[in-house]
Amino acid sequence: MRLMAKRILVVDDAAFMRMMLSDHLTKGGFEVVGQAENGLVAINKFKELRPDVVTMDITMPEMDGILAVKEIRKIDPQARIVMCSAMGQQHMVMEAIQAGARDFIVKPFDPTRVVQAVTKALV
Amino acid sequence: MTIASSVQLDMLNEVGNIGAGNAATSLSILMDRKVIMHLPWTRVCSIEEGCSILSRVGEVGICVEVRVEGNLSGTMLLTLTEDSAAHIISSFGTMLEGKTLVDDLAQSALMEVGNIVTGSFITAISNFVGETGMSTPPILLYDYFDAFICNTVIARTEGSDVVLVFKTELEVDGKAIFGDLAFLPSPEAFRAITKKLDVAEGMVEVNG
Ligand SMILES: [Mg+2]
Repeated sequence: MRLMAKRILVVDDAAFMRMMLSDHLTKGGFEVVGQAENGLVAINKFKELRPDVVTMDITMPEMDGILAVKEIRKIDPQARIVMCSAMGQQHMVMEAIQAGARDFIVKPFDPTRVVQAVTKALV
Repeated sequence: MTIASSVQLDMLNEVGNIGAGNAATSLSILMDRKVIMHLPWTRVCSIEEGCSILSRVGEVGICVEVRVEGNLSGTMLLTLTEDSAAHIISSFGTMLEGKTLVDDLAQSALMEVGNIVTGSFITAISNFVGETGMSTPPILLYDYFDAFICNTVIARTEGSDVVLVFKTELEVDGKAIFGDLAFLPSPEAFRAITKKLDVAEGMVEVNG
Protein backbone atom coordinates (compact mmCIF):
# COMPACT_ATOMS: atom_id res chain seq x y z
CA MET A 1 0.00 0.00 0.00
CA ARG A 2 1.18 3.43 -0.88
CA LEU A 3 0.94 6.02 1.87
CA MET A 4 -0.21 8.78 -0.44
CA ALA A 5 -1.99 7.96 -3.67
CA LYS A 6 -1.09 10.27 -6.55
CA ARG A 7 -3.76 12.89 -7.16
CA ILE A 8 -5.43 13.05 -10.56
CA LEU A 9 -7.66 15.65 -12.24
CA VAL A 10 -9.91 14.11 -14.92
CA VAL A 11 -11.03 16.39 -17.74
CA ASP A 12 -13.70 15.32 -20.27
CA ASP A 13 -16.93 16.91 -21.43
CA ALA A 14 -18.77 13.59 -21.22
CA ALA A 15 -19.93 12.75 -17.69
CA PHE A 16 -19.90 9.08 -18.58
CA MET A 17 -16.29 9.16 -19.75
CA ARG A 18 -15.23 10.99 -16.57
CA MET A 19 -16.91 8.28 -14.55
CA MET A 20 -15.24 5.46 -16.52
CA LEU A 21 -11.80 7.06 -16.35
CA SER A 22 -12.16 7.77 -12.64
CA ASP A 23 -13.16 4.16 -12.11
CA HIS A 24 -10.10 2.84 -13.99
CA LEU A 25 -7.78 5.22 -12.14
CA THR A 26 -9.19 4.50 -8.70
CA LYS A 27 -8.88 0.76 -9.29
CA GLY A 28 -5.31 1.41 -10.42
CA GLY A 29 -4.47 2.98 -7.06
CA PHE A 30 -4.82 6.68 -7.88
CA GLU A 31 -6.97 9.26 -6.17
CA VAL A 32 -9.23 11.28 -8.46
CA VAL A 33 -9.33 14.64 -6.70
CA GLY A 34 -11.38 16.52 -9.24
CA GLN A 35 -13.23 16.47 -12.53
CA ALA A 36 -13.76 19.16 -15.15
CA GLU A 37 -16.11 19.26 -18.14
CA ASN A 38 -14.21 21.74 -20.31
CA GLY A 39 -10.84 23.48 -20.63
CA LEU A 40 -11.83 26.59 -18.70
CA VAL A 41 -13.05 24.62 -15.69
CA ALA A 42 -9.91 22.48 -15.97
CA ILE A 43 -7.63 25.51 -15.63
CA ASN A 44 -9.45 26.69 -12.52
CA LYS A 45 -9.45 23.23 -10.97
CA PHE A 46 -5.76 22.87 -11.76
CA LYS A 47 -4.98 26.11 -9.91
CA GLU A 48 -7.13 25.08 -6.98
CA LEU A 49 -6.12 21.41 -6.66
CA ARG A 50 -2.57 21.24 -8.05
CA PRO A 51 -2.97 17.58 -9.09
CA ASP A 52 -0.01 15.30 -9.83
CA VAL A 53 -1.43 14.38 -13.24
CA VAL A 54 -4.20 15.75 -15.44
CA THR A 55 -5.99 13.54 -18.00
CA MET A 56 -7.18 15.86 -20.75
CA ASP A 57 -9.86 15.24 -23.37
CA ILE A 58 -9.37 17.06 -26.69
CA THR A 59 -12.84 17.77 -28.07
CA MET A 60 -14.79 19.84 -25.53
CA PRO A 61 -17.08 22.86 -25.64
CA GLU A 62 -16.03 26.29 -24.25
CA MET A 63 -12.31 25.53 -24.43
CA ASP A 64 -10.70 22.49 -26.05
CA GLY A 65 -8.01 20.35 -24.49
CA ILE A 66 -5.14 21.64 -26.64
CA LEU A 67 -5.64 25.22 -25.52
CA ALA A 68 -6.12 24.07 -21.93
CA VAL A 69 -2.74 22.25 -22.03
CA LYS A 70 -1.05 25.43 -23.23
CA GLU A 71 -2.68 27.50 -20.48
CA ILE A 72 -1.95 24.98 -17.72
CA ARG A 73 1.70 24.75 -18.80
CA LYS A 74 1.90 28.54 -18.49
CA ILE A 75 0.69 28.27 -14.89
CA ASP A 76 3.04 25.36 -14.15
CA PRO A 77 5.71 24.48 -16.74
CA GLN A 78 6.18 21.13 -14.94
CA ALA A 79 2.50 20.14 -15.12
CA ARG A 80 2.05 16.51 -16.11
CA ILE A 81 -0.74 16.02 -18.61
CA VAL A 82 -1.93 12.90 -20.46
CA MET A 83 -4.14 13.50 -23.49
CA CYS A 84 -7.27 11.47 -24.12
CA SER A 85 -7.92 11.43 -27.83
CA ALA A 86 -10.44 9.84 -30.14
CA MET A 87 -9.46 7.98 -33.25
CA GLY A 88 -8.37 10.24 -36.10
CA GLN A 89 -7.01 13.00 -33.85
CA GLN A 90 -3.31 12.20 -34.37
CA HIS A 91 -2.46 15.69 -35.56
CA MET A 92 -4.10 17.20 -32.50
CA VAL A 93 -2.24 14.80 -30.22
CA MET A 94 1.01 15.96 -31.83
CA GLU A 95 0.10 19.58 -31.14
CA ALA A 96 -0.62 18.73 -27.51
CA ILE A 97 2.68 16.87 -27.13
CA GLN A 98 4.48 19.91 -28.55
CA ALA A 99 2.62 22.03 -26.02
CA GLY A 100 4.01 19.82 -23.25
CA ALA A 101 1.64 16.88 -22.80
CA ARG A 102 3.54 13.75 -21.72
CA ASP A 103 1.58 10.98 -23.39
CA PHE A 104 -1.80 10.11 -24.82
CA ILE A 105 -4.43 7.41 -24.50
CA VAL A 106 -6.97 6.64 -27.19
CA LYS A 107 -10.70 6.29 -26.57
CA PRO A 108 -12.31 3.98 -25.72
CA PHE A 109 -10.05 3.44 -22.74
CA ASP A 110 -8.32 0.19 -22.00
CA PRO A 111 -7.98 0.19 -18.16
CA THR A 112 -4.43 -1.20 -18.22
CA ARG A 113 -3.27 1.40 -20.72
CA VAL A 114 -4.81 4.23 -18.67
CA VAL A 115 -2.95 3.22 -15.51
CA GLN A 116 0.26 2.67 -17.49
CA ALA A 117 0.16 6.10 -19.16
CA VAL A 118 -0.57 7.97 -15.93
CA THR A 119 2.13 6.03 -14.09
CA LYS A 120 4.63 6.81 -16.84
CA ALA A 121 3.72 10.50 -16.77
CA LEU A 122 4.73 10.62 -13.09
CA VAL A 123 8.28 9.45 -13.74
CA MET B 1 -23.64 15.91 -58.88
CA THR B 2 -24.32 12.30 -57.99
CA ILE B 3 -22.47 9.08 -57.45
CA ALA B 4 -23.90 7.13 -60.32
CA SER B 5 -21.93 3.98 -60.91
CA SER B 6 -22.25 0.80 -58.94
CA VAL B 7 -18.46 0.60 -58.85
CA GLN B 8 -18.39 3.88 -56.92
CA LEU B 9 -21.11 2.74 -54.53
CA ASP B 10 -19.14 -0.44 -53.91
CA MET B 11 -16.05 1.59 -53.10
CA LEU B 12 -18.02 3.79 -50.72
CA ASN B 13 -19.47 0.69 -49.10
CA GLU B 14 -15.93 -0.65 -48.68
CA VAL B 15 -14.92 2.59 -46.95
CA GLY B 16 -17.97 2.18 -44.72
CA ASN B 17 -16.94 -1.41 -43.95
CA ILE B 18 -13.62 -0.18 -42.59
CA GLY B 19 -15.51 2.33 -40.43
CA ALA B 20 -17.88 -0.38 -39.21
CA GLY B 21 -15.01 -2.69 -38.31
CA ASN B 22 -13.25 0.01 -36.32
CA ALA B 23 -16.50 1.06 -34.64
CA ALA B 24 -17.23 -2.53 -33.56
CA THR B 25 -13.74 -2.97 -32.10
CA SER B 26 -13.99 0.30 -30.20
CA LEU B 27 -17.49 -0.39 -28.89
CA SER B 28 -16.33 -3.82 -27.68
CA ILE B 29 -13.63 -2.13 -25.60
CA LEU B 30 -16.00 0.57 -24.31
CA MET B 31 -18.72 -1.84 -23.23
CA ASP B 32 -16.58 -4.89 -22.58
CA ARG B 33 -19.08 -6.87 -24.63
CA LYS B 34 -19.05 -8.70 -27.93
CA VAL B 35 -20.03 -6.19 -30.60
CA ILE B 36 -20.48 -6.96 -34.30
CA MET B 37 -21.28 -4.44 -37.02
CA HIS B 38 -22.19 -5.34 -40.59
CA LEU B 39 -22.82 -2.95 -43.44
CA PRO B 40 -25.30 -4.48 -45.90
CA TRP B 41 -25.45 -1.45 -48.17
CA THR B 42 -24.53 2.19 -48.67
CA ARG B 43 -26.73 4.59 -50.55
CA VAL B 44 -26.40 8.14 -51.83
CA CYS B 45 -29.85 9.67 -51.40
CA SER B 46 -31.71 12.90 -51.89
CA ILE B 47 -32.88 14.73 -48.76
CA GLU B 48 -36.38 13.39 -49.35
CA GLU B 49 -35.23 9.79 -49.62
CA GLY B 50 -32.85 10.19 -46.68
CA CYS B 51 -35.67 11.55 -44.52
CA SER B 52 -37.95 8.65 -45.32
CA ILE B 53 -35.26 6.09 -44.47
CA LEU B 54 -34.27 7.76 -41.19
CA SER B 55 -37.67 8.79 -39.82
CA ARG B 56 -39.13 5.47 -38.75
CA VAL B 57 -42.73 6.67 -38.61
CA GLY B 58 -44.40 6.24 -35.23
CA GLU B 59 -41.21 5.08 -33.52
CA VAL B 60 -39.51 6.83 -30.63
CA GLY B 61 -35.76 6.87 -30.38
CA ILE B 62 -32.46 8.56 -29.87
CA CYS B 63 -30.44 10.50 -32.40
CA VAL B 64 -26.84 11.48 -31.72
CA GLU B 65 -25.83 14.36 -33.94
CA VAL B 66 -22.15 15.15 -34.46
CA ARG B 67 -21.04 18.19 -36.41
CA VAL B 68 -17.84 17.64 -38.42
CA GLU B 69 -15.46 20.46 -39.28
CA GLY B 70 -12.55 20.72 -41.72
CA ASN B 71 -12.40 19.87 -45.42
CA LEU B 72 -14.83 17.00 -44.86
CA SER B 73 -17.34 19.16 -43.02
CA GLY B 74 -20.91 18.06 -42.52
CA THR B 75 -23.06 16.31 -39.97
CA MET B 76 -23.13 12.68 -38.88
CA LEU B 77 -26.33 11.23 -37.44
CA LEU B 78 -26.65 7.98 -35.54
CA THR B 79 -30.19 6.93 -34.73
CA LEU B 80 -31.16 4.16 -32.31
CA THR B 81 -34.66 2.92 -31.57
CA GLU B 82 -35.74 3.25 -27.94
CA ASP B 83 -35.45 -0.50 -27.25
CA SER B 84 -32.02 -0.67 -28.84
CA ALA B 85 -30.73 2.34 -26.94
CA ALA B 86 -32.04 0.79 -23.72
CA HIS B 87 -30.24 -2.47 -24.52
CA ILE B 88 -26.98 -0.58 -25.04
CA ILE B 89 -27.44 1.13 -21.66
CA SER B 90 -28.05 -2.19 -19.94
CA SER B 91 -24.93 -3.61 -21.64
CA PHE B 92 -22.77 -1.25 -19.61
CA GLY B 93 -23.52 -3.41 -16.60
CA THR B 94 -23.15 -2.12 -13.06
CA MET B 95 -21.88 1.25 -14.19
CA LEU B 96 -25.30 2.26 -15.50
CA GLU B 97 -27.42 -0.01 -13.35
CA GLY B 98 -30.98 1.25 -12.96
CA LYS B 99 -30.39 4.13 -15.38
CA THR B 100 -32.96 4.86 -18.07
CA LEU B 101 -32.83 6.90 -21.27
CA VAL B 102 -33.85 10.09 -19.47
CA ASP B 103 -30.87 9.97 -17.09
CA ASP B 104 -27.98 12.30 -17.88
CA LEU B 105 -25.38 9.62 -17.35
CA ALA B 106 -27.17 7.17 -19.68
CA GLN B 107 -27.46 9.89 -22.32
CA SER B 108 -23.79 10.71 -21.85
CA ALA B 109 -22.94 7.05 -22.49
CA LEU B 110 -25.07 7.02 -25.65
CA MET B 111 -23.34 10.19 -26.85
CA GLU B 112 -20.03 8.42 -26.38
CA VAL B 113 -21.34 5.49 -28.42
CA GLY B 114 -22.35 8.05 -31.04
CA ASN B 115 -18.90 9.64 -30.91
CA ILE B 116 -17.26 6.29 -31.49
CA VAL B 117 -19.48 5.14 -34.34
CA THR B 118 -19.55 8.46 -36.20
CA GLY B 119 -15.85 9.06 -35.52
CA SER B 120 -14.94 5.65 -36.97
CA PHE B 121 -16.82 6.41 -40.19
CA ILE B 122 -15.42 9.92 -40.48
CA THR B 123 -11.91 8.57 -40.00
CA ALA B 124 -12.50 5.93 -42.68
CA ILE B 125 -13.84 8.55 -45.11
CA SER B 126 -10.96 10.93 -44.26
CA ASN B 127 -8.37 8.26 -44.92
CA PHE B 128 -9.97 7.38 -48.24
CA VAL B 129 -10.43 10.94 -49.49
CA GLY B 130 -7.20 12.28 -48.00
CA GLU B 131 -8.95 15.25 -46.34
CA THR B 132 -9.51 15.87 -42.66
CA GLY B 133 -12.78 15.91 -40.75
CA MET B 134 -12.79 16.81 -37.07
CA SER B 135 -15.72 15.90 -34.85
CA THR B 136 -17.21 18.40 -32.41
CA PRO B 137 -19.09 17.55 -29.17
CA PRO B 138 -22.28 15.55 -29.81
CA ILE B 139 -25.89 16.57 -29.31
CA LEU B 140 -28.56 14.06 -28.27
CA LEU B 141 -32.20 14.18 -29.35
CA TYR B 142 -34.85 11.89 -27.83
CA ASP B 143 -38.31 11.95 -29.39
CA TYR B 144 -40.51 10.46 -32.11
CA PHE B 145 -38.18 10.21 -35.11
CA ASP B 146 -40.74 11.69 -37.48
CA ALA B 147 -41.01 14.72 -35.19
CA PHE B 148 -37.42 15.85 -35.70
CA ILE B 149 -35.40 13.81 -38.22
CA CYS B 150 -36.52 15.61 -41.39
CA ASN B 151 -36.05 19.02 -39.82
CA THR B 152 -32.57 18.01 -38.69
CA VAL B 153 -31.63 16.64 -42.11
CA ILE B 154 -32.93 19.71 -43.94
CA ALA B 155 -31.22 22.07 -41.50
CA ARG B 156 -27.86 20.32 -41.73
CA THR B 157 -27.45 19.57 -45.45
CA GLU B 158 -26.27 23.16 -46.05
CA GLY B 159 -27.55 23.48 -49.58
CA SER B 160 -26.46 20.10 -50.87
CA ASP B 161 -29.25 17.66 -51.65
CA VAL B 162 -27.18 14.68 -50.52
CA VAL B 163 -27.56 12.18 -47.69
CA LEU B 164 -25.16 9.25 -47.48
CA VAL B 165 -26.89 6.41 -45.69
CA PHE B 166 -24.78 3.58 -44.33
CA LYS B 167 -27.11 0.68 -43.56
CA THR B 168 -25.58 -0.70 -40.41
CA GLU B 169 -26.51 -3.89 -38.62
CA LEU B 170 -25.18 -3.78 -35.10
CA GLU B 171 -25.21 -6.63 -32.63
CA VAL B 172 -24.40 -6.26 -28.94
CA ASP B 173 -24.02 -9.51 -27.03
CA GLY B 174 -25.99 -11.33 -29.71
CA LYS B 175 -28.93 -8.92 -29.66
CA ALA B 176 -29.68 -6.91 -32.81
CA ILE B 177 -29.57 -3.13 -32.44
CA PHE B 178 -31.84 -1.14 -34.73
CA GLY B 179 -30.86 2.25 -36.03
CA ASP B 180 -29.30 4.08 -38.96
CA LEU B 181 -26.18 6.00 -39.72
CA ALA B 182 -26.07 8.93 -42.11
CA PHE B 183 -23.57 11.53 -43.23
CA LEU B 184 -24.85 14.86 -44.51
CA PRO B 185 -21.82 16.27 -46.31
CA SER B 186 -21.40 19.96 -47.07
CA PRO B 187 -21.24 20.67 -50.83
CA GLU B 188 -17.42 20.99 -50.57
CA ALA B 189 -17.10 17.70 -48.69
CA PHE B 190 -19.32 15.91 -51.19
CA ARG B 191 -17.26 17.36 -54.06
CA ALA B 192 -14.08 16.01 -52.43
CA ILE B 193 -15.64 12.56 -52.00
CA THR B 194 -16.94 12.33 -55.58
CA LYS B 195 -13.64 13.59 -56.98
CA LYS B 196 -11.77 10.87 -55.12
CA LEU B 197 -14.29 8.24 -56.24
CA ASP B 198 -13.88 9.34 -59.87
CA VAL B 199 -10.11 9.00 -59.64
CA ALA B 200 -10.36 5.65 -57.86
CA GLU B 201 -12.86 4.33 -60.41
CA GLY B 202 -10.52 5.36 -63.22
CA MET B 203 -7.80 3.33 -61.59
CA VAL B 204 -10.09 0.33 -61.21
CA GLU B 205 -10.85 0.49 -64.95
CA VAL B 206 -7.20 0.83 -65.94
CA ASN B 207 -6.18 -2.08 -63.73
CA GLY B 208 -9.17 -3.97 -64.45
MG1 LIG C 1 -14.99 15.10 -25.62
